[in-house]
Amino acid sequence: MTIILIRSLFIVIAALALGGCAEMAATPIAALTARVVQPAGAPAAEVKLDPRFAYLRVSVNGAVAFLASDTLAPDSPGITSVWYSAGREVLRLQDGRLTGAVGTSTEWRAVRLPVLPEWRELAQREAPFRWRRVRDVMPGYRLGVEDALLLRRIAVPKQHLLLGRKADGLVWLEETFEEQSATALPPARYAVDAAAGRVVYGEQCIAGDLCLAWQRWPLSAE
Amino acid sequence: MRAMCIRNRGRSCALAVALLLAPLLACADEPGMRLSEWLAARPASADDYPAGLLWQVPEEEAAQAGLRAALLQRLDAAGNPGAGRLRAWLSGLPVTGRVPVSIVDPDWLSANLRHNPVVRPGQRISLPQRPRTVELILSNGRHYRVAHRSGAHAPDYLAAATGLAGDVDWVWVVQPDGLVKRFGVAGWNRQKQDEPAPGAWLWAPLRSDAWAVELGDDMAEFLATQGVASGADGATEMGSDSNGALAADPVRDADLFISANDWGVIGLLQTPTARMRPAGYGAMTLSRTMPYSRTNVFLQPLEWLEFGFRYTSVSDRYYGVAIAGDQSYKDKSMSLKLKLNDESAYVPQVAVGLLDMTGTGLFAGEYVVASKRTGQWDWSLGLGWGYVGARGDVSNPLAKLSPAFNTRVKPVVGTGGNFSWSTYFRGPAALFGGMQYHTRWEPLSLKLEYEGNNYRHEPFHNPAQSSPWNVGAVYRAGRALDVTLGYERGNLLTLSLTLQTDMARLATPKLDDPAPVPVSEFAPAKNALGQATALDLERQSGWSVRRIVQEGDRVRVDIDGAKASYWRESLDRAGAVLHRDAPAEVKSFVFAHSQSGVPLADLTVDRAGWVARQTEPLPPAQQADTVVIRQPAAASQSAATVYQAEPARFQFEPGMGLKYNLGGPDGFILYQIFAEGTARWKLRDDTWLQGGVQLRFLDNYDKFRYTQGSLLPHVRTYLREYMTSTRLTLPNLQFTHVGKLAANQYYSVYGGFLESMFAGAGGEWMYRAPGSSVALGIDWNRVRQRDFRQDSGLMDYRVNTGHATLYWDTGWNDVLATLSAGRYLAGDRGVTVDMARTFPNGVRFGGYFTKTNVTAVQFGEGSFDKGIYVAIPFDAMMTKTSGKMATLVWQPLLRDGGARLDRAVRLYDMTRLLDERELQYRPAELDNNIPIPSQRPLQWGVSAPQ
Repeated sequence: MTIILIRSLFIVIAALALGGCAEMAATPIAALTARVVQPAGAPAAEVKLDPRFAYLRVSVNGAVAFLASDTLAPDSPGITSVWYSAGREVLRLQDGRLTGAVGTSTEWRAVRLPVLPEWRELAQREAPFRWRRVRDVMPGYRLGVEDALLLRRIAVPKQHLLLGRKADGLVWLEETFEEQSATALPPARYAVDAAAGRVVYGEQCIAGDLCLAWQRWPLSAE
Repeated sequence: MRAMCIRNRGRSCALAVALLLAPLLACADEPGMRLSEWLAARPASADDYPAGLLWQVPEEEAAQAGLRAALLQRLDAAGNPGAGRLRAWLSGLPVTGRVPVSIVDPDWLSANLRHNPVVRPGQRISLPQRPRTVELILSNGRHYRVAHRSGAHAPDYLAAATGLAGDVDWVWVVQPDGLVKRFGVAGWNRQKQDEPAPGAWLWAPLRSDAWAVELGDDMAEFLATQGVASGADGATEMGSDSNGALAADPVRDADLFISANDWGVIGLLQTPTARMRPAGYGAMTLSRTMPYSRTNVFLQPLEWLEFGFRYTSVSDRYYGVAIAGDQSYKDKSMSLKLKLNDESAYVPQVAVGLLDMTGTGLFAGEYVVASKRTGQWDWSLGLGWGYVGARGDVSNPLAKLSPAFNTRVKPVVGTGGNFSWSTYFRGPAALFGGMQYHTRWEPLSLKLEYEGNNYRHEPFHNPAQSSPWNVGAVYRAGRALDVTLGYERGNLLTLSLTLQTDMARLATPKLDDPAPVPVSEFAPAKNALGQATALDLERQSGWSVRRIVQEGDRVRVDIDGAKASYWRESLDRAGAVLHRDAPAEVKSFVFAHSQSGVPLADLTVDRAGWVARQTEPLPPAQQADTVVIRQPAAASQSAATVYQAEPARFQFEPGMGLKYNLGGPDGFILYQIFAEGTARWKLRDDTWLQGGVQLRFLDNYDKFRYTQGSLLPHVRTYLREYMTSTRLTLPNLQFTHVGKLAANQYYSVYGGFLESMFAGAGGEWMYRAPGSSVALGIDWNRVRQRDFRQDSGLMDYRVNTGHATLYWDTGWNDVLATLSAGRYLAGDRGVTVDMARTFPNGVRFGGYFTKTNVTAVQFGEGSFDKGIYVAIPFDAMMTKTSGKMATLVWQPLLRDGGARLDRAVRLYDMTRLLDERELQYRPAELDNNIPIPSQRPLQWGVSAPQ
C-alpha cells in the first residue's frame, strides 16, 4: 500500500492538464490587467479611460481589452493609427483595416496594401471587389504571404460584437479569400458608416485561433 | 570579379559588401539614441526590410573574429575538398560586430524599452532593402541563390536548386534577423520548421561529407552576424522558374508523432517502440484492454530515460475476498526504457526496456526494439522476452553467450518488489513490431502491430487471441490529450486516454500579483527611502523586511525567512522598488538574507548594470551578471537606518490537507481530508516553539483493514491505528534552535513531538559553503514511539536514529545526488540513494531507494523501500506567487524497514539560497512573452517536439 501526504494533490494532477491550459491562460493580448480586461458584454461604463488618449475597444477570443493611442486624428483617411495594449502589444489600423499586430501570439509584422477605393464607394458597390494583400506573418517567418481577397456587401450578420449603434444603420461588408489554402483565414467583416465613409466596426482574424473585433471607444469618439 | 575575389579575397569581398551596403548605412550621431527613434526619424520605404537590420557594435568584433578564426581552423582540419572553397569564401566575409534585435518595429520597440537598443557613438545601424532570394551553401563549397517563395521550406530550396535533397540530413536556417535553427530535412528526421525568410542563409552539409554538428553550429553562428545573405560571389542563380517545385507540405514537414501504448510506454498499442518524449514530459495513460484496466504514470527525466509506474486492475479476478471483498485484483509495477542511440540516416534508434521490473512480476517482460522513420511512416521491430515475447517462437540469441539464457524460471516473487536479475532476458523470445502512419490530417495517426504475446501464459486467465495483429488510431485532441481506439487480439475493442504535458515548460501568468514597479532609466533626484519602500518591497517580493539602511553608496535591506521558487524574479521586483526610491548616489543594493535569524548570504546588486539590463537589450560583451552572492556581513556602524520593523513573534496559518493510499486491497483510493492549523511562537529569531493540529473531517479510512505482518518493529505499519484512532491530532509540537557554529557550518537542535509517530530530541550539523557543489550533513535523534491518538502519550519503543548525508550537485544534466548512511527507525542500518533532476523552471523529477541490513523476508512485501517523486513549484501553476512547492511521492509500499524520521526542520532546505542554481531558476516563458515569435516553441497540436 502506498501512503502519501501532500497538501494539494489536485495541483499535481492538474499540472498535467495545465499543459493544455497554460497557453489558454496566456491569451493573445497577454498580461492585460483586470483594469482593462473584462468578459465580453460586461458594462463598458465601468471602465475608466484617460481622456488624453484615444481608445479602441477590442474583443479577443471572448475577452475585451481597451487599447490606447496617441495618434492624432486616428480616424482620418490615409492615417495609420497605432494602438497599444497594457501588455505592450501593438495594433495598427489604416482606413479601418488591420495592417499590423506585433507582440501578439501570431503577428502581422507588416501588411502591404494597394491603393484601394474609398469606403463610400465600396459601400455602394454592387459587384464584389477583388484585391490583393501581402503580409509578413510570424512565427515561422512566413514573409510575403499573398492574399487574394473578395470584398462584398452582406446583410447585417446575426452575430457581431458591435455596441452602441444600430447595426442596420450601417453597411456591412465581408472580405473572404478567393481560394482556400493553408494561409486562408476566416472572413473579415466591416461595418461602414456610408455617410461618413469610414469603418466604425471591424472584425479580422490574425490567425485561425486569434480573431479580433474592434471599434472606437467611447462611442462619442466616433 | 570572382577571380579578383579569390586573389584578394580578404579585402575585395569585404569592400564589395561595404559598397553594396554603403547607401543603406547610417551612423548613430546622437549618443544614446534609441533604435525606435532612429527608425521613426527616417523616411519609411515600402522596400525597407526590418528583419535584416544590422546593429553593429565594435565591442563584439573581437569575439566574432575569434569565432571566424576557429571556424577557419576547423575547416583546415576537415581535409574535405569542399572545405578549401568554403574557407576561401568565409575568410572574405567581414567581421561585423552585429547584435540581433528582437523585433524591429518602431511602434513595438517604443513600448518595449527592454528590447529597444540604445545605439551609442561608434555603433552603426543599417537597414537593407528587401531581398528577393535566399542563399544556399553546400559543404562542397557550392553556393546557390534561389528566388524566395512564400510557403517554401529548406528542403524545397534544396530540391529546387540542387536536386540533392536526398543527400542532406540537416539544414541550418540562418534568418536575416540572426536567429539560427537546425532542422531535419531527410525522410528520417523531417521536422516542422520555419520558412527561410528572404535574405536567409541555408547551410546544408552533404551527408557524404560527414561534417560535425559543431562545425555546422559555428558556421551558422558566424553567418548570423552577416545580416541579409547577399555576398556569395559565384553563386548559381536560380530563377523563379526553378522554383516550380517550391510548395510547402505541412504534413510532410511535421515532427515525428510520438504517443503512448496501452502500458503508458511510448509505442504502438501493446508493443513498445524506441521512441521517447523530450526530457521534462510527464504523462498519465488510462487504458482498458479486457480484462485489464491500467493507470500508467510516466516521466521523462532525461532525454534517454523513460521511467514510470502503473496500477493494473484485473477485472475478472478478486483481490481476495477475505481481505478486500469484491474489489478486483490490483497489481503494481514499474517500467524503465533506455535509449541506446539516436537515429541517423541509416541506423535506427534502439532502446532496451523492462516492462514490469519489480513487484510481483506478473507482467515481467523485457525487450530490445529498433525504430526507423521514413517520412510519415515510423517502423519498429523488436525482440521480446517474458510477457513481451510470450509466444516464444524464437530461440534466445543470448544463449550464445550462456546456455543459462535458454531457460526462464518463474521468478521467486517472495515478498515482491525486488529486481529479478536471474530472469531478465531469459527464456524463449518472440519478434514483435509494427508501423505508425501519420496521416495527412495532422492530429491523426494510425497504428498496426504484430504482438509478441500469444496470451497463453497470462497470470490468471488466458483471454482468447484470434490474431496477433492489432490495429488502432490515435487522435491528438489539442496539446495535452491523446485518444487511442484499438482493435486487439482480433476480437477486442480497446480504448486509452493519455494526458501529457511538458512539465519543464509549465508556467502560469501571475495575474494576481501586483503589477511590477516600472524601471526607469534614471535614478530619482530625491531620496524617497522609507516605510513605503519597505511596504512595497514586501508587497512585490513577498519577503519580510526587517530593516533598511543606507551606508554610503549602497542600500542594505535585511530580510528574514524569505521563500521563493524564482529568486531572480523576486530580486528584480525588489530591485525595481529600491531603484524607484533610492537617490542617484546609491550605486548598489544589498539584500542580506537570513533564515530564522541565521545570516545566510548577501545578494549584492550592481545598480547601474541592473538598470541597464532592465531598460535596454545589452550586447553580449556587456552582459555581466549584476547579482553576486556574498558571505553575509554585518551592516556598518555608521549606516543610517531608514526603516526598522519589529518581527512578529507569533505566526498562525490555517490550511487544508489530504492524505491518501493508492492501490490497496481495502479500496483503490483511501483518503483523508483534514483541516489544520500550524503556528510558530518565536522566543528569539533563532529559537521557537512550533506546532500543528489536524482535524480530519472526511475520510474512508474505516475501510482500512490490511496490515500485512512485519518482522521489524512497527515503526510505520501502525498506520491504520494512527489514522483512525481519533479525529483531532497533534502531529507536531517542538522546540527548535538553529545557529551558525562557524563560517559555513550550521546546526540545529530540537525536541518535542517531532512527527505524527515519534517524539524525542535530536540535532543536525551541516557544512555548506556558498556556491559549493557539495554539502555534508549529520543528524542524530533519540526518539520514542507516540501513542496512536497523537496526543501526549508515548509507547515503549525507543530508538536512536540518524544519518550522515552527502549532497552532491553533479553538474550532469542538473542532477542532484544525495547519499545518506545511518540507522533507521526500525533500528536497521543502511543507505539511501536519491537522484533528482531539476529543470530550469524548478520542476523536479526524482527517485530514491533504501537498502538496509534487513532481509527481504524481514522487510515484508516490497523487499526494500523505494519511490519516485515529482516536485512542482506552486508558482509554475498558480496566478499568485507563493514560493511553495507541491510534492507528489509515489512509494509502492509503506513498510518499516528503511523508514526515516520525518524532521520538520532540515538545514539543507534552510540554506538553499547558498546554492547558486537558486538564482537561475526562472518561470518558463509563456509563449506570448518570448519576444521573438520564431523562438516560441512550436504549437503542440500535432506532435511532440523533438
